[in-house]
Amino acid sequence: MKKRFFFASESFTEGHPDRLCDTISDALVDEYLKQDPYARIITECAISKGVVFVAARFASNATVDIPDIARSVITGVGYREDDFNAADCTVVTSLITMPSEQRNSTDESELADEDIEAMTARNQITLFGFACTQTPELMPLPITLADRLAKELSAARRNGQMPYLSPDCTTQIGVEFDQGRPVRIDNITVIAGLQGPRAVDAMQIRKDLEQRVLISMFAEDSVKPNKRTEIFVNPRGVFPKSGPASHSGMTGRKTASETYGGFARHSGSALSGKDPSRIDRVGAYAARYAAKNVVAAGLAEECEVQLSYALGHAQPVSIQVQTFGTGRVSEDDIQERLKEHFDFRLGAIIRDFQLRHLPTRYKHGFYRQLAAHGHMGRSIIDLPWEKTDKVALLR
Amino acid sequence: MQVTPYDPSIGSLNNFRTQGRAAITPLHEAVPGRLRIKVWGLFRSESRKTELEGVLQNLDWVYSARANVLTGNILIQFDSQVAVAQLVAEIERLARHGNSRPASGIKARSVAARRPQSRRQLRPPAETTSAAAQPQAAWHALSREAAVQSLDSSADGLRESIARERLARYGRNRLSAAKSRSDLTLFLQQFLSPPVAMLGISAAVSLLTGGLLDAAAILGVVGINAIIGFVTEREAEKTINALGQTAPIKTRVMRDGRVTDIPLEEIVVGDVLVLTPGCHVAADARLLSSSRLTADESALTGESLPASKRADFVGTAETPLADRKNMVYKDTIVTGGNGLAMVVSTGRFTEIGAIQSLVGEVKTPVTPLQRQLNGMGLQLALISAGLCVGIFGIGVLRGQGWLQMLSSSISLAVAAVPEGLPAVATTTLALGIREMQRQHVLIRQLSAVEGLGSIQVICLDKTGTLTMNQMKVVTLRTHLHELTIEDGRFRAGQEIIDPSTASDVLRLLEIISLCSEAKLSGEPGRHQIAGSPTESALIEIALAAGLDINDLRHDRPLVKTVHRAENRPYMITAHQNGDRLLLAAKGSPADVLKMCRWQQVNGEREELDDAKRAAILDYNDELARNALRVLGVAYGHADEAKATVPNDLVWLGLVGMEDVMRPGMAELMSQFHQAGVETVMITGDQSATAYSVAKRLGLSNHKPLEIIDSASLDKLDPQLLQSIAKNTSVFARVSPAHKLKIVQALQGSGYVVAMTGDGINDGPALKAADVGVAMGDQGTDVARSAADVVLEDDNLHTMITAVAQGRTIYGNIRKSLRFLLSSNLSEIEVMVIGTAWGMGEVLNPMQLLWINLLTDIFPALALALEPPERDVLEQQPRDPERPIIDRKDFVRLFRESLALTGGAMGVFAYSLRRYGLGPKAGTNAFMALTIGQLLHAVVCRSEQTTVFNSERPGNPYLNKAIAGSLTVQMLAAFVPQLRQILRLAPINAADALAIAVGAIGPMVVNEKLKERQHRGE
Repeated sequence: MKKRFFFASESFTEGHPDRLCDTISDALVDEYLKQDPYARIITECAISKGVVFVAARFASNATVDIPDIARSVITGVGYREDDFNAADCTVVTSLITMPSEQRNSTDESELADEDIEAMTARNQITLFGFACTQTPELMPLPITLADRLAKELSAARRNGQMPYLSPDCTTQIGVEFDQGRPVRIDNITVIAGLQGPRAVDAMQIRKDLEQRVLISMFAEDSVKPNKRTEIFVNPRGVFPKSGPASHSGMTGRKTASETYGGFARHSGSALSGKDPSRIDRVGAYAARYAAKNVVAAGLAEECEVQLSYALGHAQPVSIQVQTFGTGRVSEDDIQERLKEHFDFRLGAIIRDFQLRHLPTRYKHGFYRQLAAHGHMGRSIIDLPWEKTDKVALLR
Repeated sequence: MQVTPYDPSIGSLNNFRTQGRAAITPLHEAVPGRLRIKVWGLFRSESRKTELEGVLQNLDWVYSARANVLTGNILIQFDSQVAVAQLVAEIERLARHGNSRPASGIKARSVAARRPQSRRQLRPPAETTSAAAQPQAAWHALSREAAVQSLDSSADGLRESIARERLARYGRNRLSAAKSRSDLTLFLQQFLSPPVAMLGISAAVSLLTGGLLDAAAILGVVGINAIIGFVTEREAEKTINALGQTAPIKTRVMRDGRVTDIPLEEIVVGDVLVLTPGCHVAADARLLSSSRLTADESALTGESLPASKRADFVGTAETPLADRKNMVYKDTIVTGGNGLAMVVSTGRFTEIGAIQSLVGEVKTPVTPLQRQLNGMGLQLALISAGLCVGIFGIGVLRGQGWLQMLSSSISLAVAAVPEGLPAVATTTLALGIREMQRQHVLIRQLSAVEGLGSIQVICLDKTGTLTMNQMKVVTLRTHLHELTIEDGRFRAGQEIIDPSTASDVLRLLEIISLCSEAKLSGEPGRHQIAGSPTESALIEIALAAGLDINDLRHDRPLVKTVHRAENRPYMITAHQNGDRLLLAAKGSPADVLKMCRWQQVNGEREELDDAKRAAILDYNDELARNALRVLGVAYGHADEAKATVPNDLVWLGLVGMEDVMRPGMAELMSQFHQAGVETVMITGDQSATAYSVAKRLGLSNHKPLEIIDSASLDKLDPQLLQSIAKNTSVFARVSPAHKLKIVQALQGSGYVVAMTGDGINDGPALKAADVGVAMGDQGTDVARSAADVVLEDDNLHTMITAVAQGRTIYGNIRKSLRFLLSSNLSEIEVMVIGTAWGMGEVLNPMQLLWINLLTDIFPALALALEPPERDVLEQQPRDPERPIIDRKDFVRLFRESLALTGGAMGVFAYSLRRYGLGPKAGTNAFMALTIGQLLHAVVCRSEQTTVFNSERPGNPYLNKAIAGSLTVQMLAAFVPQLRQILRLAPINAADALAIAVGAIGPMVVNEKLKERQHRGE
């Protein structure tokens, strides 16, 4: 194991165009599933200047006013009307109706085992799930901190502590590791988009950041910024505009920050904009679920679960476990235990996580919360794949 | 100094400053010391012209300055040492401030400037009618009272007797009938063409060489040509001159204090016009009263934005036309508001009449196609002239007599030039227009005929075009009841119920009857409703429920109305209810709900909480998703009519309506798609509704359905819109004013765009579209006068016929052209080959003229009457950039001409071998070539099908033309007198066989080649 190294992960606030696109895509998934839990829906979104482009393929009984959903997401993000106005923007939709037999007809929870077995993967993909002991939620520390900082910035904007911030900010946190453990915050970078009538100087932002955000954010952490921690605010100068007015966005371009911040492998496939019957989305959740339970059960300090799905197979064709030398039991052993206690078939994942019905359970939707607040680790809602309910079985 | 309340000069100068438009635009500055500049405000302003010219000529470094009020340009010659920038600055200063007064005629650049100006002025020029001069005054500078007084009329209008007397004295209100070219001119013009001039020379040469008979024959040919040309052209001109005369024939005036409709032509000075939105202003008139009146004066001023009008404005004598807010002018259109205006001048004394006499004779517009054909005709004439000179040279070198060579090369030139070419085009277009009229398609612009054939995208207005624009209430939802309405019966589920038993429903119906501007007249049971489609539908449903609306309205008299407006998607009316006010509100459900604090449940009111609001909005979404137009209805009480938005109304429920779709639209869309025309729907509906309609219609033609949803297309970068508009099938939430943007975006991506419309706001878009299509019956005057094509029966299905017709017309012109070019080429080839090989003169001048007469006219005209080909609606639209005859076509028709030549020369060679040099060989070649050409007309009938294809529809005209021509040809061979004129030798059986082979052979060869090529493609 490397003795000493640095690792930095970045994250984005909810108004970042890429993240906005992810959120719109997932808000559509929510709306379709709310009206029709068995809907097939794949959406992709792109934003540039005043134009929002949404491509959707679906087989569903639902009728969704796509521009309306897109506008409501944009409105919720909180751009000032001069910068990006939901009512004024043009929404271009490209719609493809899939044949109705593509729509699921029965609920997975009512399916017999043969039927689950018959639900084979429609995509071929290798997926990774990861967990480690760096944080209480068993996530890598850099992405956890970057995400948390992004959330704090949004909160500071909304509650008036930093009212000049725009919804489009980027954060990056570099952490120094020693013997695989995070020991120090090396640097904190914020690219703060600004909006509002008055210009704010960088010193003011920096002061507000340190005093109003960072202090409270790290209050309960053991690893905190210290004097040697470098803090950068808009190191390359302030952009004259922020958000879609200055840079464009697209669904699925922030796959690293929505998984493990690059600390562990990820499939590269986008998670947002796909209904639960897409294994490349839900398989990633299942893999995380397995890895987290392995670490929570104390079988290893770091664990990566790899699942490979092939067309025509319900079960993953390969389940691999790596513990990077932190395992208490052998990797082969863990692998066997996973095979025994986890059902990685597509139908089983949908059934066990109740993925079709979650959007109706949350007032503000389920999938769009993932896109806006993170798919892994701690979110503002309880994610079924973050439960550690298989710990006892794995031990 | 007298200060008028609305000083136009101040107003427009401020306008200018705030909007910062350039007052001038340099147009041409390539030549040093010479500059052409467009000056805004100069257009049609004589005073500006004098002023600008005067000031500029006083500058010592300006040599000359000439302003043109018709183009709005000024041409300046100046000392080239002076920097152009200095001159521009000087003129800019003048244009802004003027010498005496500020430039008040500054205009926005016309948004519809794509069209040449001349297209607006299709109306024929003024003919001098004997009419007494009308009273003249600066009416805009007079007060209302003064104007009325000097016109000797009253606000109640003229008395009938006085009106009759004035009509007799001042003449009818018209810009006089078309003074088209007189028949004599038209006939004489037939002789003023280069081919005829050459024939004259030829006749003179014949006379000189002693050929009296020849000269007579040539003159005969000239005469026949002229008569045929005259007859066809006169017919065509009649049709074309009648285009565009679809202005309304009646107009609304006050006479004797009563509102009546009278013929437009009978309007006289002193009449009081009743102006309503969409109406055509019948004559120049001074406003007596106005309410938010706006008029589209683009026909007069070129200004595309509507001008606002007000009766209380008083100008000065110098106020320019565009700023005379208290005047309305003939042939402009009321776009909004209403008012009364007193006529001050009629007919040619109006501003538009003055302009027409200024412009002079309005020529029949030349379409791009005609221009192309004229150019081609000239080119061909030059080429054949060159060839004839060549033949003359070769012949003389070969030892032929020069006089004989001169005569035969001139004859060849005459025969080879397809002089019928422009006539064929005009005739075909005219016949096509008449055919379309028969099918209820009115063509208003000649160029639209070509446009129809090349349409690539058709933009359809959902309301009124795809639908009937008649709303029907289909569902009512109160808190307790969910009713569907079918055929005037109310159902809850399967059960038919009496709505008067449900108190909430009854209350809702009462409110929608009160909160309405729809007028109700007639007896119970036979009510007539006049109002917007939505309000009419609401009243209808209330009547169906048995409500006595007149009674209700009488009991609760209207006190105040807050209209729907931009940013206020609802309407509230206040009614006297005892000593309090009853407020009735209807409108966008979300916005009406925001004003509510309670909801009505079985007569009781219940406070709304978030959950209940959400439930109502969910209901609304559900209805909207089913393509219904949904209104929310609420009521409340108030002590006085306040300006503030109420917040304690009681929610009653939702009304769902649908616009009835016209039958057969989905099939029509697929017909358009098959014809390669993309369909685009433009609607104000939200996306989900638009999607379900588009899906039902199959608008996207099995491709992904792209919808652009934008309430503010104007804020979008035009280039961006262009790129996203390309594959879009639906524009949702679009306001009519943005249709122009859509048309421009589609045109920007290279499409030929047709656009349908019927509303006041559709004018600019219809004008900008390559083919603007208005509905004849429901459409407003504005839409009709801006459109190129009017569908008289309001039936969109007619549009597909029009497209087929447009394509056929273009195709037929091509067919005639192909025939004319290939057959004339073969004549040239025969002569060139014969002369070059020293075989002497294959065809003599008389024979050439004969061929010209026999084949160039009737077969070519008959080809122009070809019926539509079977697959005309399965072909792709033609590329508008492609010339009517491109290189590929030319290669093909050259090949065909070679086959014809081959046949004739084969016969010639055979006869030479058999009979030696002499009239025998020439006779046989002449017969083979003439018959071969006549048969070639059959080849030219189609580019795909051949004579071997038995299924293609026949063309009786062509059959007759060929049969007749063949008979005449036979006469030539057997009638001795004709034979003598043509110098033909007798034909024996063996010759006849050879001629038959030489004539039929080329046709078989050409048809086989076509078949092979068509299969290869």
